[in-house]
Amino acid sequence: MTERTLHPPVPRRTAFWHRFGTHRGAVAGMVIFALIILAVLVGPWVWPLDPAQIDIAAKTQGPSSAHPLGTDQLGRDLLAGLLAGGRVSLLVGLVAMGLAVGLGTLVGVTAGLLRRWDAPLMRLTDLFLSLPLLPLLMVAIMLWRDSLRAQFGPETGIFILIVGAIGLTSWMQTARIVRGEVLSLREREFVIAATALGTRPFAMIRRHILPNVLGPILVSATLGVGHAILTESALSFLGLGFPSDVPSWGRMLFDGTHYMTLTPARVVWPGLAISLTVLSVNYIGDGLRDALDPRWTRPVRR
Amino acid sequence: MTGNQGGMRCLTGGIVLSMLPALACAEQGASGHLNILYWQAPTILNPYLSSGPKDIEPASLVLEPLARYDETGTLTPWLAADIPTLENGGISEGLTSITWTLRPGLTWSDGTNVTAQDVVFTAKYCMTPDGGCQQATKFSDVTSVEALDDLTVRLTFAAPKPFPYGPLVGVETPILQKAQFEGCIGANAQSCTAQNTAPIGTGPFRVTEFRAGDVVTFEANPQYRDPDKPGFATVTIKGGGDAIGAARTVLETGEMDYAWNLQVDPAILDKMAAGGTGQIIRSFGTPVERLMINRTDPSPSLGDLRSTRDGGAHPFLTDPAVLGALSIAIDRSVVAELGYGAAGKPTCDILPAPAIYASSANDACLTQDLDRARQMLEDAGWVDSDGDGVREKDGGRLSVLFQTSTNPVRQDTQALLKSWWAEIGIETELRQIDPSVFFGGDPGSPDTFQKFYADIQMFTNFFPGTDPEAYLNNWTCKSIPTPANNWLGFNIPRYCDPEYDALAAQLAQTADLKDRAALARRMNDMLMQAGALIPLVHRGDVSAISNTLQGVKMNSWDSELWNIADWTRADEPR
Amino acid sequence: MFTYTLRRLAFSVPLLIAISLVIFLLIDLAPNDPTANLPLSIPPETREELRKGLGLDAPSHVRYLLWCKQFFVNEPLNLLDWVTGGESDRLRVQSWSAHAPVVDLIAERLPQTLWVVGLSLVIGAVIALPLAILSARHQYGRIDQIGTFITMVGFSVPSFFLGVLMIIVFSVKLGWFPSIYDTTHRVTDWHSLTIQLRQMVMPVTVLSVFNAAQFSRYMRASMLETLHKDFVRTARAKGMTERRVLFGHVLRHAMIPVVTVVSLAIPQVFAGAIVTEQVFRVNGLGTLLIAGIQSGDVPLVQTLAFLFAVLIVLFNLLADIAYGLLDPRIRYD
Repeated sequence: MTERTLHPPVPRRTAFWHRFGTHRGAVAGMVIFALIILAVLVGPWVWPLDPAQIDIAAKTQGPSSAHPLGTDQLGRDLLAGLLAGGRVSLLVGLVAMGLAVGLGTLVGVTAGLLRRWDAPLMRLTDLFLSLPLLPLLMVAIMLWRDSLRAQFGPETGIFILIVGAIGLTSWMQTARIVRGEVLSLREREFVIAATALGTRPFAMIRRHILPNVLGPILVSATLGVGHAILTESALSFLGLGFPSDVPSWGRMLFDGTHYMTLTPARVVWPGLAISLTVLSVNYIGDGLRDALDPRWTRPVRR
Repeated sequence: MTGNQGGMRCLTGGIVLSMLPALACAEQGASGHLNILYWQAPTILNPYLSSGPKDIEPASLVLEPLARYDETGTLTPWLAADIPTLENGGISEGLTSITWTLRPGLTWSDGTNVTAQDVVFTAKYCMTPDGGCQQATKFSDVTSVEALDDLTVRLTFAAPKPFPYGPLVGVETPILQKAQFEGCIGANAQSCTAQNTAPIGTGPFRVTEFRAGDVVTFEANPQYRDPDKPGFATVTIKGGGDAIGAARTVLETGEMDYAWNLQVDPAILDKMAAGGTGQIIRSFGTPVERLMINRTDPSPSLGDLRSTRDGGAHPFLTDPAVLGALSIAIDRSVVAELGYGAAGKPTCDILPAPAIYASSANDACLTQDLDRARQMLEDAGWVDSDGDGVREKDGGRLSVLFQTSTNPVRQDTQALLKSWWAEIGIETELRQIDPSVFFGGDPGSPDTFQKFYADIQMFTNFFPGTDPEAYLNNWTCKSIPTPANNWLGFNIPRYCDPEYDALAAQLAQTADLKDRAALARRMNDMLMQAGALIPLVHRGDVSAISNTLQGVKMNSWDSELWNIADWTRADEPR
Repeated sequence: MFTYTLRRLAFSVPLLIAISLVIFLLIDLAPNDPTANLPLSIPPETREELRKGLGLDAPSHVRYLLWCKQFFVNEPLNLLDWVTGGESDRLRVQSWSAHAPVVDLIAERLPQTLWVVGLSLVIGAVIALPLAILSARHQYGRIDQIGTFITMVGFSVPSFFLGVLMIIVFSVKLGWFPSIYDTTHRVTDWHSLTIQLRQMVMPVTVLSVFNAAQFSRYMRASMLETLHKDFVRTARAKGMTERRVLFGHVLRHAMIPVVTVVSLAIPQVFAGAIVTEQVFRVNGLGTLLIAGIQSGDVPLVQTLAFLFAVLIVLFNLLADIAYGLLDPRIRYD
């Protein structure tokens, strides 16, 4: 563990990719994630069946050549649903996670670094943590659904509402974690030294604070993607989600749970898709963290 | 006397029901413990303050009415000695009063006697203002309730009452004990927690423990009028989970003996029941899953006039061709089969039962005919001129917003209708709303079924008991929800026809059952022909029972647990 | 630190009152309604009467102040009377759907929630701690790889699925564990304890998987950060044993995010686990809250949400104090 190999100094960006490339898990995660994205983007052209196409005669079927993954209780094709659902789930998962982690990091860093903002921001976090989620969402639907629908059309309007609802109700954990770390960093020698040298706040955050809290942030991000994908399905049961004829992985998994003993494929595939996405995001996160850590060097196996 | 009758019943019942007559004729409590699952858990055991069947039915183990409906919908004397009629003089000539006589020798579970005073008190309990009595409408025309002697009670009505069996009859209005509830009248009703969760009754069981929203335990009532009953010594009614999980506990794990209200995809139920530890039982009452058509314009640009008659008629949903096409494009047997299985019958009437009220004038819509639907639209001038698959006429586009409450079966039905309507050139946008909002009636919310800010919506309605008068009154002009009446009123389609109102007034004056049925059928047909409602499925109630349970008679007209005193456990599965 | 704690505690009072007002306004604005669950056969006029009977016709501020009076004045006074054995008839916070005092309902639900959710938190932490230490110690070693895989899959499998899967396997097929949690079961002897444990196995497992996954990920990440810090190198350079480096220095600093996550998770014990409680019919506080929301039971939801807010504020304060203990350089004054 104490043995280390020292890299000769190389330009920063090259070093980043070099480090990232030597991380086998990260590369594998990147490849899988790229494949998933490619599948949901190109898939509907390769497999052009309409996911909403009902075929009662073929309901609740196992895999066959007409339906490689089988069908649901109305005879809708699962493969087509999985490909179309992936677009929704990935988009919601990534955007909502980005919103939550971005907001959480912003609040956490500000509160941790600036004493004056600490108390008000943390009390705001307390407030958001205490609000009961369901009534909050019901109020959100009541107040904004119709105006967003009028402004952006039914689908984009609901997308904004969903992403907003998930993002604005899940930033608090990240904020508290980041703040806790920053509080501890604030008193470290290198930060005090940097302050003494007159480093500007933004440079300070970028150069000294963020790289050192990156680990927990990336964990938040990884967990956040999974959380958002699953929360989206929960929302559709409040009438806040997409209409029932728009498939998503979370929704397919939820509906499929009831049919688990009839057609196991209905839980296996969406479950696998969600797990693979979360796992690959996790490994990418690991690779990013290792590659971005300025002091980090890959341990050599003894 | 009553004991003898019980003995006779139980002997014949035993012969019919099983090869082992001794089983059905055991003494009280011989069958041990009974586990019932109501997945929507009871939160109170006072039907007058309840929130629906989940509370009322468990309460029926303890509290009993004067008369109730048996599994065929026939009114049967329960605490009363017989059913008052014009013939036996129990109903006065002018139809303005009814006189009930209690069975002699009835006792409460605390050992005191049931008297006419308890009956009078119960009526007073519900009629006192500020008591929050949910069954108040059953008593709305009652002017006086008096005890003529210890066992006789007379109810007097303000106007002639052709059907006087509303108050104190059926599962919703059982008799309370005066001694127990005396301090709970009016505004005090809400805070009488001890009384509301453990009422003293005359039924086969009494409450031993009550945990709101979780579990109720009962034990056999030692004072029960038939000493041989109930068959079970103790009963647990557990709540929680969902309908599918509830079915699993009876049909697959065998942990429960009875599970209530299983509105689940029939394919899942059948799979569970196959070779399982229980079976599915069904019965039909009056519920019909139907589409409500908004006859007024729900367009947001109208502001406060949205979905009101003042805002004008709907741009195309008053066109008989469109309404007819929407209806015959639906394959009701597929909807019934997929969503309800054996517990669903395709129907074209909103009044499908009891049999005497069922009309057959509208049965043409039972057969799906997409070609005719297209032809109807074509003939009315609705054509797809721009080739986008949706028909237009005079700048109007056949695009509807179709909303309902969140529920897996309803979402499947929505998907089916959307695909059929797409085939005849009608575009559908689906929307789901949380039931607590949709049925909530909060005037501040745009998503209530009464505001109806959509073109079409779907839900089930029904009427309790067997008399449809109040139900049919839902579609009179004065029942239209408007901002002026705070959106109260159940005339959801905003249907208004003076002729219909006249028939409703006539129904209120008619006593003879045959004449009433003829009127009711006419009113049903008027609604159907106007296309204000599009009925889909006559829904049955579905429950699951253990293979070892016997004596259950599924009942849609009263509590499903109405004859729980007769339930027993077989030594071996049937 | 002591004066800081006192000041924070004092400030908590106005904060909580403000939170209670925001919660009330939110619940009041939400469009769910206490008459929503009634059968449609109950006519609109009766529904309106019922709403009036519940006091819904009064203006919002009157209803909020009424709740405040009932909760902050009457409940404590009644408790005092009960402790001293006196009779009390002050109006308590009444649930609209159960027509029973909300505080009694909560007390009824608390045991099963504490058992199931509380235990799953402990088990989650017990699994996560060694897993995270081993994973970080041997980053990308076998334990780390397997641990990462299992925890991430565990996190991405939602409880509504895992719960039903466990019921199908362990209740239906194998018949090992009951699928229904019996809240009336009393532990009196060895045998009844085994029954209690059997009915807890499945819900606790489902929740523990989630907790362990979350805790171990944060802990591992934070330990890795710390392992590469200068002071660890210094400690190593000074010839400190790896064990002392790990447990003396690294663990202590790595605990900060873990303390945050745990301090956020403990109030969740009180909020219950809505989905898991429903799947296994534990009927704890989670199902009480969801039933209250679905039936528009404002006093119930308000009281539960407020008690939850108290715990949030309290545990966040405790977390801040714990930061100071773990890293004495953190100061708030």
